[in-house]
Amino acid sequence: MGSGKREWQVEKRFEQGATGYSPEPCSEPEAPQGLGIGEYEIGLGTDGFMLRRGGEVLGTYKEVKVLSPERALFKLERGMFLEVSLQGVRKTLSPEKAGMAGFIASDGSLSRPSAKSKRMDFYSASDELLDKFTEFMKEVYDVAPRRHQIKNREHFFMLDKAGKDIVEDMREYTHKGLKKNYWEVPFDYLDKESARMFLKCFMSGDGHIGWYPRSHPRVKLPLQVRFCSKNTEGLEQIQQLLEEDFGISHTSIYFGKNRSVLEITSTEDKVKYITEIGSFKENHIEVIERASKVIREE
Amino acid sequence: MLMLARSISLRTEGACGKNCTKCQLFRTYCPGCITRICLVAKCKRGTTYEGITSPKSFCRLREYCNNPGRMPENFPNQDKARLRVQLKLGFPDFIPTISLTDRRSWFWPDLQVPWIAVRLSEFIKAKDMMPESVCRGLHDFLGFGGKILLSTVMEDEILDRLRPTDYLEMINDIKPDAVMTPDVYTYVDDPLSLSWMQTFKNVAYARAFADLSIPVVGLVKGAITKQVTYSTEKLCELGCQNFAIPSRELILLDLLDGHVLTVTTALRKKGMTPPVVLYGLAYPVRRPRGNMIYSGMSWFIDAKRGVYYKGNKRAGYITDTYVRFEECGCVACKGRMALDLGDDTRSLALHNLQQTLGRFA
Repeated sequence: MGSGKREWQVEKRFEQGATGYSPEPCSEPEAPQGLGIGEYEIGLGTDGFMLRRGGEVLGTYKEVKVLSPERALFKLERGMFLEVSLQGVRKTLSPEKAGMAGFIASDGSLSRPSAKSKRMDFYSASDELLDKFTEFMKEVYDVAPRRHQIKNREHFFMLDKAGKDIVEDMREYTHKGLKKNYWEVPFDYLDKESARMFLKCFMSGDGHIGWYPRSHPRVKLPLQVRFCSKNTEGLEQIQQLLEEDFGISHTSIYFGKNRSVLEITSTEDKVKYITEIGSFKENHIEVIERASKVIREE
Repeated sequence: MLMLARSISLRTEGACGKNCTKCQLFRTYCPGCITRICLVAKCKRGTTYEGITSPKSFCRLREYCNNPGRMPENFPNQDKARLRVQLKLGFPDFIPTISLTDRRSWFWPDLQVPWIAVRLSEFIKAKDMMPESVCRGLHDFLGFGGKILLSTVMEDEILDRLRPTDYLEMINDIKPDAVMTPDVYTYVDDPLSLSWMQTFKNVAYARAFADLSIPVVGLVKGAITKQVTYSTEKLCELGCQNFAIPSRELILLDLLDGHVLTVTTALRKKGMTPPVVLYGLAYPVRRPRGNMIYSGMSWFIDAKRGVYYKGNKRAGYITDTYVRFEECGCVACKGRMALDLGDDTRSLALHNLQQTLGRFA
């Protein structure tokens, strides 16, 4: 490698390279005050942080969150973090970007309407979800999607953003373009926080949290927690994510003709879901509050 | 007269404050600081780049900025080393580059090609692969009957670690049929003293390949015309009969044409017209193609992303409406529609490779 521009190389490989303006003259580098995580060392300077391994500087970053003595997150561009832990280094999605991935997997799409253009869409009738998606877009890509009302459908809006870079970037993590309606859970890029946000946003779009006291009169907590999708493999991956990251293991998948349903079956796991993960949708939040009240009274 | 004086001062005084007249390379080899996009010069003007010149306390180019008296070092001595094997290789028009760690890119025996390229960086990164390939031999390890070109193009941080003896040790272990001279990094936005030092390194490390018993392909590097010419001339003096240019980034900057012209002109001056491998390109960009040979793995990278090739272009993702129902009768598709290749990356890669080879027919 090493042809072309260094600026491009750094942007492509390390998701850095953002330009800034700083007319002040350079200062002499200060001796780093280090924090060691495994074989990695985080050095603190006057206006940034550097990651080293065996004396070799791997990168310099503006922001770092040291979450525990064994785990730190360096902020990269476009809603990504570089996670440093005892297991090594990996890139993870920020909760906002994971949330976008969840929204797109549920009620959105990454499409290519013509040979030269690419577009990201998100459809919803709920204002709170449209606002949340817009908020995430601003946080991650610093752009706002356009909002259109869908023809002949009362209060049903589409948010869309055309842009090759953005669509390619999102596609990299969730949509590999293999089948229609196919998306996958980006396991390699999720930590617990971003996994929570992915599930929460997916639930807001294509999930269901319902309260059915009449159909289940003898049950104290007549709660139903379901994920629905045409992508059965995706639901299986969500099932795996629930079990691995949140210990929610009592689940079943019902295969339907047009769509499949993943349902959390045990009351204990339903409570775990609504307390640890939840949803952004207003109807879901109402049910969660009602269920929480019953749980508190018990 | 005023204009002339001004142009000379621009060349002798870099935007970073460096005085080029004190440099031994000035005029003979180097035209002086002629680039406005130098990252150090930009930083002096106030524009910084995160991860390179920002945060300032960790600037990677600090040593070229705080020390305007620093001049390129390690100017190679007049070593008259010559390659032991000076053989002009009969490359085909396109050399597929494969991934050693991903068997889905191993397209044989469905398709036979005379040469493939493999990357040395993969051996370095996947350490457990090296003992097996050394033990069985690279051809046996891959199960490939043709010839193998070992590419030394790799990431900058690996390049900084390797010494000539490391290269020789690995090449002798791997036993390819041909190898490129070591890669270096010569970015067009780096200070010229850095790219000059890397060009010198390119030449010095190439000389260490003189005793190899396999043909050596000269990897031409350089950020400016003078560096490219210098690199080409020194590789010619070494006895290289085949040349390669890492082209992927250059074509994005529209610099490839100038680069190729500089290399071919330098070669013509030496009385040579060998084929030049444009490494990292999988579509013919220069017409007439003449002595250009292409090598790349975009056929496989695109297949992993679900991109379907049709004829001379990337048709689109296999889920796109105007692609999904495309039918093809090649050995990979066997009449299947594009969408049916979704779960079969190897077949999609093989289809894309055949379309790529068709471009050069």
